[in-house]
Amino acid sequence: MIAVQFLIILIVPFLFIGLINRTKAVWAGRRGAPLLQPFYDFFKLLRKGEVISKTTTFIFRLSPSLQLAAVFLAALILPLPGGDSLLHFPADFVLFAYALGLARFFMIIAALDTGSSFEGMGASREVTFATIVEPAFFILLGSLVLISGQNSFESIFASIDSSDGFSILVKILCTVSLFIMLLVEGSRVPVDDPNTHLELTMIHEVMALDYSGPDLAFIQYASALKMVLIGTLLANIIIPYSLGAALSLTLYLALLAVIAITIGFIESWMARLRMSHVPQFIFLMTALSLAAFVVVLFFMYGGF
Amino acid sequence: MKLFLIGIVLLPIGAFLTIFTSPKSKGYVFSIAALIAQFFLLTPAILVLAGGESLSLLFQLSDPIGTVRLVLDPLAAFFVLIISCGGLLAAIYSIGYMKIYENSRYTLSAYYIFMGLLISAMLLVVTAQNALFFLVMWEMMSIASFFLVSFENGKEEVRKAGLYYLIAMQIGAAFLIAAFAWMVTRSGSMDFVTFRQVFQTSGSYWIFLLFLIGFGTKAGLVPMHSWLPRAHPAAPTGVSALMSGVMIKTGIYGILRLLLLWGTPDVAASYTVLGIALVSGIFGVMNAIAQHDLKKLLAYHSIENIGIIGIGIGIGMLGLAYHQNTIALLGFLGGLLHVFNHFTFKSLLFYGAGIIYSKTHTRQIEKMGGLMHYLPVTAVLFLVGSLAISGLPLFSGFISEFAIYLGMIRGFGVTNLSLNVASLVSLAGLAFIGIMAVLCFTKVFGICFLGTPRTAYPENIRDDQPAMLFPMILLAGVILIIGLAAGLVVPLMSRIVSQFVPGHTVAEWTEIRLVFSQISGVLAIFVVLIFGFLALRRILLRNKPVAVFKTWDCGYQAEIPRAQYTGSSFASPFTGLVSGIIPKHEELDSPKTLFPLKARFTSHSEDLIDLYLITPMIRFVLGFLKLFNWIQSGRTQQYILYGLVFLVVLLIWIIGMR
Repeated sequence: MIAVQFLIILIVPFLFIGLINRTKAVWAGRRGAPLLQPFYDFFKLLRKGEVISKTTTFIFRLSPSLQLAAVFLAALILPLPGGDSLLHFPADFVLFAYALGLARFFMIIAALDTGSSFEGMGASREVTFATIVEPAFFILLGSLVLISGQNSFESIFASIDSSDGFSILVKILCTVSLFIMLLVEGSRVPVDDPNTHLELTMIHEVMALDYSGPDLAFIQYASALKMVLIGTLLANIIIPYSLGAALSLTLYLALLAVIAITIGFIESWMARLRMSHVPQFIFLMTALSLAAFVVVLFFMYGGF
Repeated sequence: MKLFLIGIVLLPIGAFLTIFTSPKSKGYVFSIAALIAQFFLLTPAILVLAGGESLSLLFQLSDPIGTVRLVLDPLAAFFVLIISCGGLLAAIYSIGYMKIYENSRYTLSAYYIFMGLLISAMLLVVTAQNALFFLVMWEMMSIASFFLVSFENGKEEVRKAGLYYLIAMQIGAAFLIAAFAWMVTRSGSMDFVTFRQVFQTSGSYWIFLLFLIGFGTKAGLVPMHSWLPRAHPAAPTGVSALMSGVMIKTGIYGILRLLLLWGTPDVAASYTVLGIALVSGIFGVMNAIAQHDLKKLLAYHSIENIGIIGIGIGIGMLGLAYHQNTIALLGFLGGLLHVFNHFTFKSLLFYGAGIIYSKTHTRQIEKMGGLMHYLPVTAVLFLVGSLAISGLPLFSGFISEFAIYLGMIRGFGVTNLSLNVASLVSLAGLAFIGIMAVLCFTKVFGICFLGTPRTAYPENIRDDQPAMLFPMILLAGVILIIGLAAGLVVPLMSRIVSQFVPGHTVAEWTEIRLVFSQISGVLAIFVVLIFGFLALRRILLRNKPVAVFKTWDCGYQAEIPRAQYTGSSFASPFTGLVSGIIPKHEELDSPKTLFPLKARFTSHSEDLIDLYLITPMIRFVLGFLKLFNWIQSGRTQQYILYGLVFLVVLLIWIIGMR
């Protein structure tokens, strides 16, 4: 199981991005790049040298490796559906969120390190949106802890297996909420458009504007892995725990594919929201998480 | 315990000795005195913390005070540790920082004398068990710090800030005096021990509230916080650090001491503490985001961190009130550890801000930029402080916040509607505080230290003041030790935390210890991962060209430092979202004619509570006092008449009494 998890961590993020791009291409009437194209790009970048801005300090060089390490740690904490997590302890999801927070801190200061106003803009937006996502994510986690009575990822997922009306409602609310989080954290449409890295409206891509070579490869891999992690979280909620390893794994991969295709479709169908409307969209996640919590309270206390 | 008293006396003595030395050596004399005092202060404190018996000492003072009991129990010892270390570091830092005042009109001896008195007063506050003696020391602490805040009394803003601070402290003290008076009349004794019975009677919620307002004013809980953003920027940096890192904690100490006397607090009081603390945390950091004055920003962060400490204490109180030992242990563990952590990282950050100020002569972050190229050591140390205050893993802030989180999560396990809701609100609240701190400190660090300078700096800015850097290095070391070796640090807290939860079992504490050992293990894996990827990067870049070029600017061939994002532009999307809570005040002189000669735009944010609560209250009091304005006419004859009238009235009264 450990080997499988490592394999998934190493391969699936690239396929995930490849599948999104393929979907967009097919919808636009093109054939599109091969599914493994992000993989080839990754290795090409790893083989290259770098150009580093003279304004920057060690922060700029430290940041990509640290981001990747933090996301990797988060990946080790999160279990695969139906499986055990490699590292688990009470309230491990707090470390999950905070490790990603550390990655975010360094991503932002590395962007500010270049002294570029573009990157400052991206950094500012990234952290502003995070201020809405983070409390919503903790509300969601709180609901899961309350309904399961457990306090680590692994045991929570193992004990929200029941399929009565309340649980299903909570699961639906959590799923939609997490999907919004996936769009925000992955910097996808309608929050951000990964294709437009030189317009004034972008967030994530512009923060990596000055990176090249292995550092850029690290950043791209880390952000793809982060999306897959949120997808995995979502899968853990949807896929019942007791299906058996093989079936869970198949369902999990299928679900990730569905998520990637959905993202591809969303990006084909709609435009990015105006920057001033993005917070409202993210507040939807807060509202859904709160709704999930209220449903759990109803479930536990049988109405007021 | 006698040793302890020697230590307390040594500090003012050392400070008074500075009168007789040359300006250059005053700092050294006081630091040496503080260093020697450390030995006397820390030895008993560490003995108590390590598991020894609580120490106590009785002495007799003249009548109104009576018998004074000084007790060094684990709680007191914990605060003694913070106070004496904080005092020593502030003394060492001052050697470097106060150099600029050596040839000025300000007397350095006064600075060290009041610092010595402040430290001694704080030490006595946390050990005194006699209400009146406690209050006297409390006042001495306020007054000594007042003189330190108004050290640069030539500046009008400093005098104003000092007076504001003094008045705020007196109002807080008035509440404390009322509360203690109530306690003393009920118990018939000044000794704290006798208060225990009084707390068992009804009405303890309201008396607790009275104490909470009094101690909260010192600690800086919202809405009694308005002195912090005024006093901290005005004070010399060593004092800001000592006040923010150490002195405001005496307010927390007061609340904790009350809780020890109370035993099992009632539910309403617990929710009150939790609520006020949450509001303080959120309000403090939101205001910090909108600030551009580095020290004012740090002052608002003190309010935030007092909030986090309060959340921990609130969770602990809820645990006690609902008889959930594990929750109580975790809440108090998190709150108390955060008291220590806040001391380390806030002192570190203030010291860093002081170095920046002494080099660039400005506190406005909008004028800085690129300081890492000039002050690399300061920058790295400041970064450690920033990461710790943001509560991020690998650094100390994470450990204390994690304990609080764990306490809240345990709160979901109890079938109690209000506790569940409180857990959720505080869970989301703490997460919100954490991410806002990330926003604020990416702003501070990014704008001050990274990028390119926004204004021209004075020449020769270098890291060349070991006396100022040394305390920072020590503090950064402590931050990393707590952050990485939580499994070893948490057991050290057992004595203090157990004091609050007398009924807990060994198993409950062992379980908590186990969690923190696991955390340390996981964080070790994290460190290995970071170094692994750094090594991988190095291997990948071996024999590859690494070019150094300018920042990509879309082909626009001009580098304008002023075009960089500023602190206000960085914070603006967020402050726009919360403009209802942080009202922004903008002034615009827009260019008018075809060939405009001038245009001006300024913006600053207001403190909502200051604006709508404190200022109207001050205006009301002023209006009321104006009614008596005619008494003070400025004419000597009239004043002599007052004296005469007073004497006549006195005469009639005395005759009447006969």
